[in-house]
Amino acid sequence: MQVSFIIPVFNQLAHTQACVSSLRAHVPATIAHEVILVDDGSDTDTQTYLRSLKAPFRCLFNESNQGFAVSTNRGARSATGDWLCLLNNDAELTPGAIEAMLDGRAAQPDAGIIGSVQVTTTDGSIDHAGIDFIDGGYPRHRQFELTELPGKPDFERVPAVTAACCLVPRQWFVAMRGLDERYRNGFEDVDLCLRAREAGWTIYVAHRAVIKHAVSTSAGRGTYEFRNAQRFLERWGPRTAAIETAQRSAAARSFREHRARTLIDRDLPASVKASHHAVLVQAETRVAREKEPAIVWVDLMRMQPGGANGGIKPYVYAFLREMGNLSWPNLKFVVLANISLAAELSFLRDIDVAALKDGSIWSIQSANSKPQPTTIAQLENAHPPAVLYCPFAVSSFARPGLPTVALIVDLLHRDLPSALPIEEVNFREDSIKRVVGAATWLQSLSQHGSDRLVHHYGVHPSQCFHTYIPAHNRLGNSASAEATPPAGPFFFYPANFWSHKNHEVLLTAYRLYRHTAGVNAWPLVLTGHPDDRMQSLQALAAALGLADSVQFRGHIPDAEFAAIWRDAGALVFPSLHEGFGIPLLEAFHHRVPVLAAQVSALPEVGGDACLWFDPASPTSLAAKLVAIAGDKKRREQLVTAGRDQLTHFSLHFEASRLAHFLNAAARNLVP
Amino acid sequence: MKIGLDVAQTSAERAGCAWYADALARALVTSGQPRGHEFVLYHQFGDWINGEPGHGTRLTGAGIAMPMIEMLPEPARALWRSIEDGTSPLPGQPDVVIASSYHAPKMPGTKLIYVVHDLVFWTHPQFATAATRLVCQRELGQALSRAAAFLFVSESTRADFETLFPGWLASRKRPHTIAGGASRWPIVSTKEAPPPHAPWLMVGSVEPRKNHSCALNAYEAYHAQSNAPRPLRVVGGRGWSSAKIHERIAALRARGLPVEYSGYLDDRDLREAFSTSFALLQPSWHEGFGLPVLEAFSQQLPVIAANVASLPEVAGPDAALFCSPDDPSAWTTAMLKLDGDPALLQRLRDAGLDRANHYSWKSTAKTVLELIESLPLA
Repeated sequence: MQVSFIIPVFNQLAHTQACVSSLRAHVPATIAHEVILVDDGSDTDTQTYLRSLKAPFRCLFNESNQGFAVSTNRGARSATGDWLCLLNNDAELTPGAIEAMLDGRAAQPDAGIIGSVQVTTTDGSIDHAGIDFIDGGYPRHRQFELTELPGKPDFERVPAVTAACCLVPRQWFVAMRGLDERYRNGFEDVDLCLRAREAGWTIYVAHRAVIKHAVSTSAGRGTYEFRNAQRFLERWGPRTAAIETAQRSAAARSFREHRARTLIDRDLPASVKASHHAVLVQAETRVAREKEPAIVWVDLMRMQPGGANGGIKPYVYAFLREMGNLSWPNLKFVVLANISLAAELSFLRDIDVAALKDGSIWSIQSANSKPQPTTIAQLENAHPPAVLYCPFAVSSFARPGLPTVALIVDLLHRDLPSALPIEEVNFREDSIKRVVGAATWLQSLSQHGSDRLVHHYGVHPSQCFHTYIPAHNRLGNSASAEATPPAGPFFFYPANFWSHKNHEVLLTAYRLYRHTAGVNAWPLVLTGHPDDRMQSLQALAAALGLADSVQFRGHIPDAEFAAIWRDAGALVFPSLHEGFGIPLLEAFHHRVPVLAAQVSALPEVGGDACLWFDPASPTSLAAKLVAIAGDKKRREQLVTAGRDQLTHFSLHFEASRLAHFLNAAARNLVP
Repeated sequence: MKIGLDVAQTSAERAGCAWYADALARALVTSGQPRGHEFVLYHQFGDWINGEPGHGTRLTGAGIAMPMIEMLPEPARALWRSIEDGTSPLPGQPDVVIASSYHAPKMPGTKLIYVVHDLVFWTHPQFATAATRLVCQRELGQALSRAAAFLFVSESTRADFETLFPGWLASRKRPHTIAGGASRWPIVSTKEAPPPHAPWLMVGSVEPRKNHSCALNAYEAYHAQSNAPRPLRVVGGRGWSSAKIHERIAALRARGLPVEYSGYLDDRDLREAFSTSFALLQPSWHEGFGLPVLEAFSQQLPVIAANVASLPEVAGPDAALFCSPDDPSAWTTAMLKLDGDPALLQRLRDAGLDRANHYSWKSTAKTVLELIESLPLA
């Protein structure tokens, strides 16, 4: 199936009929397609008409009027095509329109959303093609004269398009949960385009795709205009303003270059010719630089071997590997780390360069050559950084003039300062204040994380982006590992023994569970970096009489870790604070039901696929442990829900977004 | 024996657990010295490091040491870190230490006796701040593996502990006892009838657990229904999440209701507040002990108390009127009843006096010292 047309319908029977006829007439049989109409609480006449339609048309019916975004998303969820064509019910296709749009992908591999030229139904004049930002970033339809059309290329890059008729990749659309349903009949398409841009896609208008559209005639179109605009500008204001400025600079530059090219051979004074010549040289340099890879320095100096750093290690390794697999943007990575990481980094073959520090001596390691001694100055000469990526927020390689993308894993020191020693709170506050002020782009690991950045540091939402961590595939399905976990199901909690991981509540709740469950109680397996806190908690477990039923495995290698996941009965996740919560996805991946604390970023990651509990109360957790251990059906329901939830997390999309922001920072582009 | 006393909390505040720590320290010294014990007072304890240790409990004389009363925070933190990892001895090198600020540091060579005031951070987490919850659970975890004995301030607290750790005290044969508080003032044996303007009194830090909103709601209805309503006096420092209560009080005053907020009162002013009031309102959602109830009894004040947690235990069945903390109208009814029934008033006052006699710091100190003396030697 190539294309699924998604058409929300709210009354306007005549327009809808015209739309349906145009689809029948102008979508060739060679394109495998389906048409999904979503009735949004229309009147009886319209509904009767919709019910009369046969394949390839099918209809879904909303109980009441929900709005354009909700209807579109509902249609998209039941679609199966590679592409979605979002279409208004008052629009009509013309011959060749859909083929022109589909050609866009072949012509432009980075095409994410492909829009069309919209002509009015009254007199056929061009209403608009794409969307611009004007007046400090406000979206407006792009309009131009009919006579300009032949001069334009078949596919023109635009900042955004409308969803009156546009193609969107289905997998991406569904994974990103489609249009933002908080908008009501307006701005959700521009919001989608901006999110697509962040993911690394480019937005195009296919100039050969002409759509007849009775623009903005639907009832209720303007009712929510102000609120929609407010929401949009609060979220995207500075970004769209930056896009507008970039558009203008690009237009001015291309005019200058065009004029220089036209005038360079004329008979003009030497100084004038020299200035035209300079412009042409600048143009050549610019084009050449665009073809070169942008060099990204990745600062892993704070990364230690083993598990002491927690979830940030699987994150960094998974993303570095995936970014190496992307065909665009054109990036080259230089990883800087301590020599102790040499073995771990050796399997990241796609990393072009690893610079490793041993004491005060640096050595450089490329894909196929032996380590060579080097210095930072030599590195800067051979691989000048265009952008610095800081997964640990701070970096000693930061300097004025070097763009940075900084990852802020969480704001534990602000949200739960008592979890950290006072010196650590002060250190983190100091560093993050500086990073927030200096970084080009701020990365977090969830919408929740970005919201906290906005809340605590007044960062503008458009200066942040977030990437989820679908790192669960790293464990693979190694059947070769021995089954060292206990026979029979067990509760599993993989977490370093930091205070906010809440092991005291878990052990107390677990003892209460055992008190009720008796002989058939499941054991509890804990993994995590072995440190003083682990010893302290082992003493607590022993004092509680749990030495035989709670296993402290320490930090274990991936293969053994995967074996534990395979046999786990349930994941218990009582953490008080998380930047993301990688083990939730690992559990979903291994078909393990999840009990999780309803705090921090976890609800965003777990959705409806977890049994939620309040991590502050041991008695309520104990009740949940008893409930889940005794209810196989519930566990199976959770496993199914977990597999479904996993479809919203794609390492490819997340890594693309990070790569795109690194590229934008490196080349001074607006994402 | 040399007995170490954790008075770190007393350097920071003087209400609730801190007041208990201070009173317990004084009572132990008074009762313990004649038994031949020596005492060391710690004004910095484990992770509880004070900026101004000098504000804490001061007890001087032969056999009493206060090695950290002048110690600044940085050196205190460093010292405690090295005590916990064994590189420095605990100053005074006591045989036992009574920890009463929820902290349970590692003290090699010394027995730890852990005071459990309440388990609100786990039983009613909504009444504890996130910081309190995290610190208390971490330290309780350490106490469970380190403490040689436990002191519970009430049977109710011990019951909460048993709910969370069923069968643990018995199976681990961990010595424990109830170490209740008592009024800080001697019993007032004679008292006239209270004047008509003697106010209703509420004593407690302004925080959600104390349930000021119930008292204010009940008082508002009482004021509307009574022919000669008494004023309301609210005593207690600003705790946390108190803005709404203060706004409410201001709003009531703006409407002309005689509600007064007196803030934190020290011992003398507090005693005066008790002795010039009509009755005590204690609508707390939860209490570990409930000192104001006994203090009210000692000053011949009748009490209307919430029927939850330790309050029925401490007040006893006869000396207080009990109402549910989620039902302000029941409180209004009780207030009107007490106002209009002098015989009931007298009965409650007598029963309260009797009840107050059940508790004394002297007997608590005796119980604690007997427990300490019965511990097997290291």
